[in-house]
Amino acid sequence: MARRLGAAAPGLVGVVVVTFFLMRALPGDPAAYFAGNAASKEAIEQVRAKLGLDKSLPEQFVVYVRDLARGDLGQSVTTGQPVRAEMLARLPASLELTLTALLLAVAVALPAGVLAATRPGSVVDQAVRVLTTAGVSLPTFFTGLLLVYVFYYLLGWAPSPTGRLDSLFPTPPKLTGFYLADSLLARDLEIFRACLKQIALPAVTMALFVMAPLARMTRASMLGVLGSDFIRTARASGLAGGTVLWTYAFRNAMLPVVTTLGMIFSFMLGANVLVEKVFAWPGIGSFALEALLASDYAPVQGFILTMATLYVLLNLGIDILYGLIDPRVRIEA
Amino acid sequence: MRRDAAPLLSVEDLSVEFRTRDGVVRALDCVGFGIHRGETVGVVGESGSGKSVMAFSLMRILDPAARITQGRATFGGLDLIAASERELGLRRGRDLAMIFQNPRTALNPIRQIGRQIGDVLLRHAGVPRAQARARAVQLLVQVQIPDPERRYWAYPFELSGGMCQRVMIALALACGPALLIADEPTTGLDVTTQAAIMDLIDELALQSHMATMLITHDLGLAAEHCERIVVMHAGHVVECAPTAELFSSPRHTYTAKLIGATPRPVSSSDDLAAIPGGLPDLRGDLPPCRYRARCERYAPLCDGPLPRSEPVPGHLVACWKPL
Amino acid sequence: MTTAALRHARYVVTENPITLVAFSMLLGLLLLALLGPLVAPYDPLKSDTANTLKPPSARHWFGTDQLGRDMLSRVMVATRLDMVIAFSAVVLSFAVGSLAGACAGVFGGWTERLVSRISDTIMAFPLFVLAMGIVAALGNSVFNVILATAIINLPFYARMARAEANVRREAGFVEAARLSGNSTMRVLAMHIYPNCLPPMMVQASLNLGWAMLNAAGLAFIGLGVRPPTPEWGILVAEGASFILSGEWWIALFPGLALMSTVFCFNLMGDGLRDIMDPRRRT
Repeated sequence: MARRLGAAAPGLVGVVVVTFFLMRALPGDPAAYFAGNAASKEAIEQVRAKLGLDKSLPEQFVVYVRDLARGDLGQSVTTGQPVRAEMLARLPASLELTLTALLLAVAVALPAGVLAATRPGSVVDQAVRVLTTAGVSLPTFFTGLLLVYVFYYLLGWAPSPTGRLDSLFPTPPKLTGFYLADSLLARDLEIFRACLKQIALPAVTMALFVMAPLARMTRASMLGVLGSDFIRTARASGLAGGTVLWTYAFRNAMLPVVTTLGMIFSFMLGANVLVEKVFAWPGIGSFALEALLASDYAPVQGFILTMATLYVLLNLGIDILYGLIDPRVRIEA
Repeated sequence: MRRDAAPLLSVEDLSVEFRTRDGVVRALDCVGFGIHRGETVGVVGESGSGKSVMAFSLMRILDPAARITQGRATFGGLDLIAASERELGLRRGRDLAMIFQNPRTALNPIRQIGRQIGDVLLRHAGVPRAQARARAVQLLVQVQIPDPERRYWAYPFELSGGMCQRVMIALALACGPALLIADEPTTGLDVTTQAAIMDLIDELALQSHMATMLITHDLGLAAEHCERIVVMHAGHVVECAPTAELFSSPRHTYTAKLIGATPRPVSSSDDLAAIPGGLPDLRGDLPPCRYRARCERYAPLCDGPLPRSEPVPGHLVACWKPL
Repeated sequence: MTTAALRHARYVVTENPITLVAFSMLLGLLLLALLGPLVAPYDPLKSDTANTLKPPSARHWFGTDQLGRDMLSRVMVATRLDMVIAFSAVVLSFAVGSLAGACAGVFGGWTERLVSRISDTIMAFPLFVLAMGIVAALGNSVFNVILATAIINLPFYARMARAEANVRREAGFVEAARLSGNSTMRVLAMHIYPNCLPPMMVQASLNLGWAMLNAAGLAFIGLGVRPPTPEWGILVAEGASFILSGEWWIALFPGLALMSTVFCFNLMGDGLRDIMDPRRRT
């Protein structure tokens, strides 16, 4: 475990360093950007001094790392709040969206892939293959808009895409920050249903894009495993069809799928930004976008650092998950 | 050995074909033989002669591209070929078991071996969950795996090839089957381990009066362990006889050649003779006798339909001009 | 190509008529990219305040947007920009990535460590986020979008090339060449590098679709290409605000164009993979 954390460290270092250089490479005067459009000359100089932008690059880096270590992500010019506070306040929204989408994608893609693999050449198989090729071609922002048009404007089933919860309802008492979980914990089904309605379209939009690679990988992996020697032994031993399929084949087939999750998360964290824009979802993505358009760069920096760190941690999680399923990795290491 | 009791397994006219990109491959053509209770029968032939295909057909674990076009395989009152998946599923692993080549890959790589044995026990032997582990350890003892209590939790990659084969044997014998099909069980293992595994199989078969079908390309191995041998060539059974008789007076040219090509302790490698030619292409039209092209005894009468004669009781041969 | 390869290619194409369809569509799109402005019925930048927000009609097949500009012309002209961005990014990525990877695979040591480090650092970011950061840092221009897209795709090519080169290095290519008097560089250039290329071609065609989606995504959120330049992502963004009031055509047609082009690239990639390596068919 410690070794795995150690392996993740260079990634984090790389992230910190690259973000540093990116944010100092801004065209024009970085200090002016961090100070904001309306800043006076003195304000800009103040910011320059505060961020240490008048010092040499190595010194700047030290200041930057020191601030990061303290958890100081700078100040947002547009909201006047520390970036860290904003990030923490908005992170649950983004996480809830991503997790819901992932669960949805897994719930649809995995069974579809298994079904297609167990009936090769059938209608289901062909359908899955076509849909997955089409699915990878979908621009996330476009599908989001299409869904809004069909389900909100035309059919009126979905609520207007204006955030996590209709303003009629009070937000559920904060326990996890995830509205769905919190409303269930508070046993308020009405709020739960309202939250569900709001999250439905954005989650489906995100899920559609990742369903395709997941289903494709599951199908390919299952096909490979079903043709292997040990499945033949299992069948020759007369094990029940369900046991052979799930306990023997599926678990083995999941190994490459878990590896694919890394790429999936990369997509999802990126797609977060697009989906949040389309649905006005108050997560860190839309926060960063607003800041970007207002030339308020501290939040953008904070956003990149947060997303990248999240990604490194998620990859760590995937490694651990893989080790749990595959004893060869655990024991031989 | 009197064999007037009804055979345990009786295969008749089994034919199997494969659909491939290049055409239909007729892998088996009217294969037939029988195995009696407690008997050890060897099925011998070159690679590609259809031995494994035959075994897979009996267990019905063929590749989806394969089709059994005709045949009957009566086992304990059930026709294995015509039976439904459900009926078969009850017998497979319980009354009729199989072990394979490459034991390492034939076991689930991410499941402990003890639990794999347990799965079979739970499925067939009606062993309550609480006792499955104890019973599995007992089986590991029976197949002579050292330190069975600890090895129960081992994964296949932690064991040697020989140990994995022992586990497979435990898996197969878990429910006391009446017939064990062993498909090249010792190929890929070193010589010492080979001998140990074969001895183990012999011993366990004797203990439980279990019949064994030993599939191998090694005639010498079959000679050592089998009471009767079935010789296959290109999807046909060409000869079938008790071992001693097969070696002392083979009736089919191919058998004689095989014996000539088998190394024996007293002979030197100079005495070994290769068999000319190779297996015929099994696609397209084939002559009734598939050995025709390689046979030096060929005569025009061999173009007629393949006969099955029994020149001596218990000794079958499929040839117009037996030796 | 040898006759056997041609026969195999014909076999795959007849087995998979969809690949043929995709290929023809792609040719059509390339033509459109080349000829776009010449073929478009109206000037894509010219506004016509009398005819704003008109749904599709015989005069304006794709309708008009909020400034009265003809949508069909805008979508057609945008083809060129999107194709240019996607192709340039992939070519750049391919060239630099494969070269770096091949060198890393052959030379090992410091070269390999450096290339690995850079690759890993890029891969430590969610790729779209990194692209956002690069364009935000360097400024909004077409070149920067191409650069950002190329950078995030580098690791794939570097990794593939390195693996292929490694295989050949292990096989003794380098030792054998040295013994016969060739320098390592020559071996790399003449033998190892060309052999790494075929599997990467498949990857490249699959990448084209992804690169295009990336660029469009960046444009959608306001990075890189800026209005009024016609680009499919920008067009969808402009149409987004009108979806809620029911003017669907402004966002739909550019979105469909984007989707079909990417779909085309993906089908092509799958077809290429079937031709090159039938064992890996999915």
